[in-house]
Amino acid sequence: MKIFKLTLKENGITRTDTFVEKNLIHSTENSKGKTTYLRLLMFSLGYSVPQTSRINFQKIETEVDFETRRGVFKASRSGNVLILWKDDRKINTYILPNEHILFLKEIFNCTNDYILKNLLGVMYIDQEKGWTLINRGSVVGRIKFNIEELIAGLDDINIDEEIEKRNRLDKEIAKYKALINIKEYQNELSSQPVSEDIRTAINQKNKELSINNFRLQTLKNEMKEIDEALRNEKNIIESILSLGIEFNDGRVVRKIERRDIKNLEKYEEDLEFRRRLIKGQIVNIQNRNNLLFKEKAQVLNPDINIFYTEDTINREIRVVEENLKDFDLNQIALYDLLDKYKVEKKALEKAIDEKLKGSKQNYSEKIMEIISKIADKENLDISEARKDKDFVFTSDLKMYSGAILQKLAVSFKVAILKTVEEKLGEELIFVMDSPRTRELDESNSKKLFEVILKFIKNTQLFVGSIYEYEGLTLTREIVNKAIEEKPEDIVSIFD
Amino acid sequence: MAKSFVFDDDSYFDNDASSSVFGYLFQAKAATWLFLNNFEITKSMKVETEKQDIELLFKDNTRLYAQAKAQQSYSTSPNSNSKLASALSSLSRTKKNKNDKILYISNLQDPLKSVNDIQTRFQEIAYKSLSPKQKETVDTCLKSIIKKIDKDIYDNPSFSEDKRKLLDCVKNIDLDSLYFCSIYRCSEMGEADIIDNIKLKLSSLFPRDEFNVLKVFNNWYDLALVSESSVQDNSSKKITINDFSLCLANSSLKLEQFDYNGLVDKHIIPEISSASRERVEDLIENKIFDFKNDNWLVFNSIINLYDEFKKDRPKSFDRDFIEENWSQFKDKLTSVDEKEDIRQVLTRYYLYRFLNKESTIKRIKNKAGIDNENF
Repeated sequence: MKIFKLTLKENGITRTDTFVEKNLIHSTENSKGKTTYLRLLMFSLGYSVPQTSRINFQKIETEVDFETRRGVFKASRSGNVLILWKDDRKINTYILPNEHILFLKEIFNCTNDYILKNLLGVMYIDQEKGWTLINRGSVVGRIKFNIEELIAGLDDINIDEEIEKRNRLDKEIAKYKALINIKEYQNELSSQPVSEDIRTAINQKNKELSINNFRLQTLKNEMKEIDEALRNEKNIIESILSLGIEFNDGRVVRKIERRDIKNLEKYEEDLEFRRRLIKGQIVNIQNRNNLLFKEKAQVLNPDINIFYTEDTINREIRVVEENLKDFDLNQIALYDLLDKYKVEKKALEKAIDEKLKGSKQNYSEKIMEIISKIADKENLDISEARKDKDFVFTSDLKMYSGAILQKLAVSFKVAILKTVEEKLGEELIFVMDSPRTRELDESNSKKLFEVILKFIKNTQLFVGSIYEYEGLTLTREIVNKAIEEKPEDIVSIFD
Repeated sequence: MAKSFVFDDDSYFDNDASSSVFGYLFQAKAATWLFLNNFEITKSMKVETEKQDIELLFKDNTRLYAQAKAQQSYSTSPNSNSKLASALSSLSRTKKNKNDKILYISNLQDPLKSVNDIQTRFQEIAYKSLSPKQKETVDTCLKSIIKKIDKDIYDNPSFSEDKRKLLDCVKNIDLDSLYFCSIYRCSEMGEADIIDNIKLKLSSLFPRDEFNVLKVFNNWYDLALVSESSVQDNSSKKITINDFSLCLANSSLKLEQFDYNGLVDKHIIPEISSASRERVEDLIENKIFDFKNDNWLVFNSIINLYDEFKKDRPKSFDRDFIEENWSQFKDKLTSVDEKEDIRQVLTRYYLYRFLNKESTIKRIKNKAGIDNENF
């Protein structure tokens, strides 16, 4: 993949930058907009990267020109809509974030969800997460990277079931941790006596609330089903239209359009209508629940007027606390359950590792080989890591000291990038935001850079920094912010 | 929410009915009633607009602005005079075109204090058709509003600008376009009167259909809720006659109930063993069809095939269509995991319901005159 050009539009200002192989995004001071700019680059490729405090990404229109072995593309994004063009022909419209994976499939000609889902973690190093992220965790915002998933993808092994189970266990673990916190808070609450009448009234309201909540859940599920049906229909229609079928409409021969498709409006009208009804029911129940909540507060403290808003928060806290007192939680059982799920998760992770290690393709070994090769050539002492045959899957990085950790991290990143590139048959891009952190002095930082440049020769590189590095070309100088008019002197550098 | 532009401290002039849940519910009922009463001539409706509680747009592009007033409790003595005064002052301020109507709709048994006179009950009666006694009530009320505003201006000259505007409005109220309607309950116990009247209206409009009136009302209310809460833009708040038609179609009793015996008798569904039958009922009860088969390809293929069938044999019945064609939809509509007889019954049932829904929608839309028009 090679990115030629990025255009950003905000409030009437349009900024276009063109790129070379190794790009430096530079500003003389920090906090000018390098992070914003690099995130916007990923945003333009459809990623749901978090916006920075300076710019509301949803108000920005982006356009990125790039090439993969599938051809030369242009992707234009506005809000959550991403349109992909190939040779000036519109290929598809993707609604983000759900359809982002379809976009990646199209441009990389890859059908392996595991690889595509973890691609950002392969290509991008965020300033905030930096080098601490090696093989699992958040890349940026809510976008995750998981080495097991990636290796499964590389090895063509299906671990859907295990991943689903792990997600479920994670939820259970989070739930019991939360319940244990509640229990501890419950123990702290003073037990103020409450009369029988009040208790009955509260119970009645609670009963209605729980019925309502059940109904809400059902409605939300129904809404999801309708959305799913609408999405499917949209996909079917778009694939029909993308075929560009021509027909004789009685007067001229023309391409089939949306309006030519019979019964489409009727179908959509029915679903949209039901969607609105369900939405109305949801709002209705939510309103009712709010009222019940206020009534509960009034039962506890009849002196207050329920429509009077002062002290709302205090009242609601009291209601919550009263409910909490009635909430029967067995502390020992909670700890037992938490332990049970933790043990299950550990066993599951072991099972996943075993499954991955048993694979014939064994990409984890390939990654380790590359890491070793880099270490040998660069005289990096990573003997500790070498001893650990499952190093690629390690979750224990604390055993490595700061300096070696940095080197390891770089080798690791490079190894993963190269491996994924080999699998995809496609060079990717590599984006690094402010790679020189406090832990790295100038010579170490320089050394790391040399490693990166040496081992990923053909990968297009984007580095955001206040420093200059040999081998990088300044392609964007940020004067005040990521989206600003192009000053004449900067233009002249590139002319 | 519609807020009055004067005297926030004066309940006389507050036309914000939604400040109480009861008032809001009544407003919804009143809107449903007005919609039905003008079904064939209405284009769309809005509630809680900046102009009035309810706004109907007719096909001739004139409008009806209604002010809804409800009395919550029948145990207290009715304060029909103050409701009337409040409604009249609000209606007088409505910015309207010459041919637009303004209407006061309430749940009072006797909004104009005129027992045994011309009844405004479930009818929209023009001011000029009122009895002399009723006219007198309205005239007296207008005079007393004017008197009160005069006094307010005299007492508080420094805040008189808005009040003077109001005075102008009340003095110039367009009596020729003023209408009255009351939709009241006879007993404190229930809504029977409103529901009965809506039923009556529906059966005269759609003699072939039966509706679950509470569902019509609930559907309408849910739609109004979304329109109100989700969009700021006033123009999007409306409920069109098309929406309302779909509301009705979705409340048809035919579609709501699975009358298994009825369908068996009509030879739409063959007899099956009681165990299979239990399974079928279970699947239907769990809404197995409602979403799983919301698939455009299936939808499209049934409609196309049915259209062809009707074109070739216009006099044939739906049951003939189902009899001849169910087998080709079996795989699309049911799971291979089910037994063969269950699959057949489910497919036939689905087709029956589908065709019924389509024809009900078509019938209602035809009546509303929205067959080919784009609203």
